[in-house]
Amino acid sequence: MRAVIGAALLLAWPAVLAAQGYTAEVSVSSSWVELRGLVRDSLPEAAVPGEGTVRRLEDGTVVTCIAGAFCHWYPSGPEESVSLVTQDLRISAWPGIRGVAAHAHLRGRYGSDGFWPRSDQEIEALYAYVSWERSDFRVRAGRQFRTNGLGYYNFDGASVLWRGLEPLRIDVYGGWSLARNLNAPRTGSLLESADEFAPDDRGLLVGVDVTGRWRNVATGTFTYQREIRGDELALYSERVAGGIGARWHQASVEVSADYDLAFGEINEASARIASPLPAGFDAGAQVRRYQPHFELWTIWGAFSPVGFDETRLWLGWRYPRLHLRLEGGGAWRRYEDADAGADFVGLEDDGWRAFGRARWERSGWFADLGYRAEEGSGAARYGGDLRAGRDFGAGRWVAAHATSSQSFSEFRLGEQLTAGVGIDGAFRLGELTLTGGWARYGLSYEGQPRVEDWIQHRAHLGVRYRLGTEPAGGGGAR
Amino acid sequence: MRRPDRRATLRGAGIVAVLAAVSGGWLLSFSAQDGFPHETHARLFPTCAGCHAGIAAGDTATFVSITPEECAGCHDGAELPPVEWQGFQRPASNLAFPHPTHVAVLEMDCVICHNLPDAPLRMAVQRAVVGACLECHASDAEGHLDLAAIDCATCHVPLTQAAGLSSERIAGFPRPPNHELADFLFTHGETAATQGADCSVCHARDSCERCHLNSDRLQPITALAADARIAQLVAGRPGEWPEPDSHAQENWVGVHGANARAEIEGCASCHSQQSCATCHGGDDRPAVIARLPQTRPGGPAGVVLTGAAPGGRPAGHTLDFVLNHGTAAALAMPNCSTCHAERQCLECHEGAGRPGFHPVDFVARHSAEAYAQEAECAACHSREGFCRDCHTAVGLNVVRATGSAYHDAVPDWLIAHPAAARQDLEACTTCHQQSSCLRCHSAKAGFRISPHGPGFDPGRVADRSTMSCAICHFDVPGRP
Repeated sequence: MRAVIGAALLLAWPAVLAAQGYTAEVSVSSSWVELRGLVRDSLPEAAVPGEGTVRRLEDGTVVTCIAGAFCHWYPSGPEESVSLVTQDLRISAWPGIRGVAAHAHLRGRYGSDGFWPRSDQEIEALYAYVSWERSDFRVRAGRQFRTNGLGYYNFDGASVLWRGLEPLRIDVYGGWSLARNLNAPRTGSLLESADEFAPDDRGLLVGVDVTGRWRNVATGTFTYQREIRGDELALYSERVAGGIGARWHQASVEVSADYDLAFGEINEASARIASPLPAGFDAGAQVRRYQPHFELWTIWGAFSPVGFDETRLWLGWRYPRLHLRLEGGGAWRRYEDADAGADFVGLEDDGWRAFGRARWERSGWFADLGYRAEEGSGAARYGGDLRAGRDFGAGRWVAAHATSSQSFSEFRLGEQLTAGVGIDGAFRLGELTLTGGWARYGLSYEGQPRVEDWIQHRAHLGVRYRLGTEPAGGGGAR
Repeated sequence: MRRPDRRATLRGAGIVAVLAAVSGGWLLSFSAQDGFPHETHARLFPTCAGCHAGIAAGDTATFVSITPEECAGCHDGAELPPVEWQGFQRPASNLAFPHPTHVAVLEMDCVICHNLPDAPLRMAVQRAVVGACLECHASDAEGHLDLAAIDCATCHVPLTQAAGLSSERIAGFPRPPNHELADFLFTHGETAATQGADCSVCHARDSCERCHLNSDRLQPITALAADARIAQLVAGRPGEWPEPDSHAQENWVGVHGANARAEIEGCASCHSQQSCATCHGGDDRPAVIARLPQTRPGGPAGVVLTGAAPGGRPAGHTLDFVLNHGTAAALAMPNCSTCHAERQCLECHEGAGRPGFHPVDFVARHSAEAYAQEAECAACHSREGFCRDCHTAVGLNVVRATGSAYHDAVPDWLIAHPAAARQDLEACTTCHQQSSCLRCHSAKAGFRISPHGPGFDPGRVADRSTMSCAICHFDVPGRP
């Protein structure tokens, strides 16, 4: 009997085994930047001539005074050099059991003086999960991420994707949520150091994504996601998102929206249409509403933020003979009435942008020229970039770039002028890839006498090595 | 022997003269190459066969049947000067000329091919010139290399069988005029399929493998033998993969998949699976890609795509598509995973990761874009853990600072800031902690100014969570 079972197992063994294999990528990159921040300076209020809250020093510097206390302003701080070294290990492995794979991406960050954002987050797992995938379903367990109509989230938990009803796909997921874009629990030090009212309990996330497709013409998607405190005493967020899209002969229509069930508000809604036109032209239009979403552990949502409605148009033209692509367009947005403050202050309540871009590519040579003007509530900027170089293929390229821009802030005096040049490139030798770049920027300021012009240098260097091979079929059953 | 038509002979002589010049010495005369003065010996040898006994029988060993010893009978050093000829060595050639057929079967006289044109003397001979061949075998040809009218294999053996030819001789082969045509690389496949034997006269399999990634799948190529001399000649020479007109047509990106599925071998000559991976790097690569060849060590690289060509983007993928791809990505329309691997999302969405998403020097000028939220910053960056962290480090935010010195462009900032905050609350949170606002906007202490707008529904929020309510309205143990 044992011999029969053994023989049966031997016969069945090839059917359940798949190819083994792994791929891994190790990379180290370092960045070095010169920075010059602002420092806060002050004089006794009595030492500053004039009256009122806003006064001027002899050189024209505007200071803000508190009666009987001090007058403050923000001059340039010292020049500093800061650096960051990032180490990444990305690995996928197929143990030889059909449909089973393991994927992980670990990252270490080491920064100088804790200056660089998140450089005190020494080791993090962007994802680390085991996946079992067959034609009808896929199960994942571990740290994983999700991109859907609500954006990008990651969590520690499990997800089950059911494809048995194709073209309908149902993906249910849940687990301990992570602070968005931090790859760490909400109770971690990153949030604690950034906000006094950071959450004191982890979050539990549950959600479902449903996606349907009709032939290759139309798709629809719906997402529900709820995030509660681990002690179930309160909600962090509860949102839904949905969208439909259709495509016909290269013309496309997309409509989508996401809705905050807690505040009863649409955070983002968009309708977009794009279509090719005769003679190499293509055009598109989009209407969009945007209002920021804030999680319920913050008070920001209760401050009644208002959104804006935006209309965007663009036109592109392709001229294959010259290997040229031109694009231009613009957008205009208007904010809702804020119902706050005084009208006489006259803050901007609308904005616009215009952009143009040309890209040329031929035989590996490329050039990209762009200009963009942006004005609106909060800030304005005008500037252009030029980037040109040669792509030798197989991961080898070199490029030079130049940029110039002028920036204004609505709420802060003065303007910043930036002009710079730089080079960067990559060289691949087998599975080893080296990347590097250097740039020099001249920053000058007008309207802020005590903010000094200066020259900034930046450099980055990286090395990446790949090893291993995927098993035949690209890894895992589908 | 049968005498040829006189007019044909004269016409042939004219062709010979022209072609001899055009061919540039393709076949050299006896006198020039061999040094044997046939004319001087005209009275001595009454027939050609006296010295070329093996010609009629095709016996190559006795093509020249006279021996050095027989020459030395006269050239003994006393009566006539000695000669240094060591005997006949058959020259290396790729000719396939069957003398027996022409001499014994067709009864052609030697002088038809070998006499100098209009020569007055018997034995005023030369090596046969190609024009003489064409006169009968391709009378409509406009030259030796007029491949439309000539079957090369009629007179030549495949190159691989011409073992005596050196690499240098092969490298000196003339290039047929049709090989210079602009579309030759696009049309030569059809010719090779029907006239492969002609190609084999100058080419070996190594010739094709220089460019064709799928050389092992194309019958005209597999029919060719490999040849070390050709391998030596093409070693290090990159392949040529000119872009077909079809690739420049409107919407090529949109239709290339259907073309590939219909006729993959049309793609496989130039494109490997690696070519497609430039764009189709996703988890759901079209199955047809697996039918393309893989590149092999030492083999041709094939077309190396360096990125999407201008206009070679899917419809709607404008140059700044990266800024507003969210809706399309959520809808997976068209199927994003055809070209993009799931992990690629992380390269940007992870936050402070990959450089290159933003234009150069974006950090110094990002404020306008951040206010406009064309691309939602929070999709990749934590407001608290990234934006606020950096703003604090560079001095834009002084924790617990009093006054509003930073906002010096608005004299009455305290009056103006409510509207600014409602419009740009995300921007505020990139510097200010909640506690900054609570000094005034708390129901528990300070000025107790309500921050709620007219449409705020406290009941709705409280029904779902009292967590944020508690910050301003209730005392929570352990909380500030």
